[in-house]
Amino acid sequence: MDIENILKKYSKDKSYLLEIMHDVEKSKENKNLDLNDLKVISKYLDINLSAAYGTATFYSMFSLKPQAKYVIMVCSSTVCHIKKSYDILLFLKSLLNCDDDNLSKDGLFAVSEVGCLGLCDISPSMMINNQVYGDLDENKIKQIVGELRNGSNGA
Amino acid sequence: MEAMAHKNLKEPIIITTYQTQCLEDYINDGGYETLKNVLTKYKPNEIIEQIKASELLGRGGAAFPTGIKWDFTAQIKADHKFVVCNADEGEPGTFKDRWILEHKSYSLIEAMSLCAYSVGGDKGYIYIRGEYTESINSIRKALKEAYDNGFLGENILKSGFSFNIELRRGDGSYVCGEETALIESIEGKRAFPRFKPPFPGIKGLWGYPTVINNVETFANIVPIIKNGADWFKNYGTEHSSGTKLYSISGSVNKSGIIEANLGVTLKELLDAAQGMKNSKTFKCALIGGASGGFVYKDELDLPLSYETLKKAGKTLGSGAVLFLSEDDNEESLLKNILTFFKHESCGKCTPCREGYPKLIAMYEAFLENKIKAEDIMKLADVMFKTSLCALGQSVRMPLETYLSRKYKKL
Ligand SMILES: Cc1cc2nc3c(=O)[nH]c(=O)nc-3n(C[C@H](O)[C@H](O)[C@H](O)COP(=O)(O)O)c2cc1C
Ligand code: SF4
Ligand code: FES
Repeated sequence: MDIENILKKYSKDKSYLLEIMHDVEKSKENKNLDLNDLKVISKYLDINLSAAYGTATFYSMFSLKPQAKYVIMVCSSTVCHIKKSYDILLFLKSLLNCDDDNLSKDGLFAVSEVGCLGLCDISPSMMINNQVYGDLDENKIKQIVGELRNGSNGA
Repeated sequence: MEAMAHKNLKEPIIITTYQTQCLEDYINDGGYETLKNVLTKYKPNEIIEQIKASELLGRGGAAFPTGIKWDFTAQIKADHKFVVCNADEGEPGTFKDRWILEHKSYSLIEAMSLCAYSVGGDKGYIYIRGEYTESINSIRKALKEAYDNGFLGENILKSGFSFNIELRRGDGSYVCGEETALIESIEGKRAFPRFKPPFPGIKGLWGYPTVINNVETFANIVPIIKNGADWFKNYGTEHSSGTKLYSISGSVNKSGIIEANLGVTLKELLDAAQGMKNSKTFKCALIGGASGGFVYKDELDLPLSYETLKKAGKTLGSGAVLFLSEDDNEESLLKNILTFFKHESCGKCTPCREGYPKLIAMYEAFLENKIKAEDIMKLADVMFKTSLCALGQSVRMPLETYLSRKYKKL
């Protein structure tokens, strides 16, 4: 769906800003908002471009840069910390040959550390795009990454 | 997710049946009967009196009496009033709201409508953190069904009462869960907390009176109105009525949600979680999430209620219980907590923005024996007294409960 069609779903109510940004981001090939999107959205809702920009950059889930196909969020909060999430993170980064920006060598994966995902009962946990994964260990991670690479996993 | 009622509980209040993912079952189970009854037979203030009498305390962490909160808003005359459900659940170690959103969506909507009727609200928002995809889907479905069947919208059940609820998705920021930051976020702004007072109940969304409650708080409303305040007060302790959904995690055999009477002991929860994993011994538990406190072996029999924990210098907070064994390291957990807060600080006020990086440096120096525990606590105290919201204030609790134990005199 293009941005004009997304806007049609919403009335000109400023409280739809985050909702619209969510939808637009999801509709884009590289899952990111760009300045032009923000211009169109802010004009539609009659807010300043700078305010829309401020909101888009405040929330960590929005991205103004093109995103990798698979965005991996590894929880590093309390419970996962106790369950050795740091080892999971290191293993994942080395498995994917991540550079200093935590982007995999093939450009397919981006790895980030995030706060509690509310998956503490299956800690250590992570999310890839909208999919949740828990009780992680090295074997499980290898399997998940393998499936994503050969397309047999729908995340 | 595993969810169960503690065996000491005759009948759970929230974790009742699992089949409520379908409107038909909910209605067969007596769902929306309470709303129908209230709209036809009760005055708004009768409902508020009932909630007041139940002595229900807010389950989002701060334990403010819900009935009093509703009454503030009910007393004010305004063109619009809002009812907001805080489903941003971000306190590390807490996952009970997710269970409620996925299993009790109909009851939440009914509760928000009851709240709106009592305080004179005309519009509601459910603000769910964006990562909770399933919760979002489940609430979306329940909202649609409510509209399709006349439980939401104009002239609900032909009573003359109108109320609308919309869903909003949050976006990966812990501070968004703070009520005024959440309101800013619904308004489409950056989630910077506002200075209080005025409290949201007086001046909230777009300056209008706004009741904002946690998911679990709302989950108690229909049962209370259906069964009465006295029934509710049979649960829990003298000053903490009702049950609590404890989020159990860490080095135990069975993680998950346990609904138990407020006042259940840590020992009882540990038993319900089938003991420590690999037969290790219990070392301590972090209760209340990252902004909670450590509870040690000699406190295993401490009743987990709001008043007892407060008296012991701790907090029940969101009810998160992270069990640590002899092999787990609280020292590094504390560093993890400091780093978490530093990362989540919104930067609006100086004590929190500048305080956390400094605290981390001090904590490292402390671990190398270069400074004393008192030095850290001095800064934590200043942050507690001067930060704008609880994100800058709450680190004093984990620091104090750990350091005072390990280094006795502070
Ligand atoms: C940094 C911070 C994060 C918070 N996160 C949440 C949250 O995720 N969910 C919640 O219900 N309350 C959260 N709160 C508490 C809310 O500000 C508010 O007290 C609560 O929503 C009121 O509802 P209750 O009275 O039903 O507990 C947070 C507070 C702070 C300071
Ligand atoms: S205490 Fe921290 S999170 Fe709260 S307003 Fe100040 S800087 Fe922001
Ligand atoms: S602490 Fe990692 S999911 Fe909650």
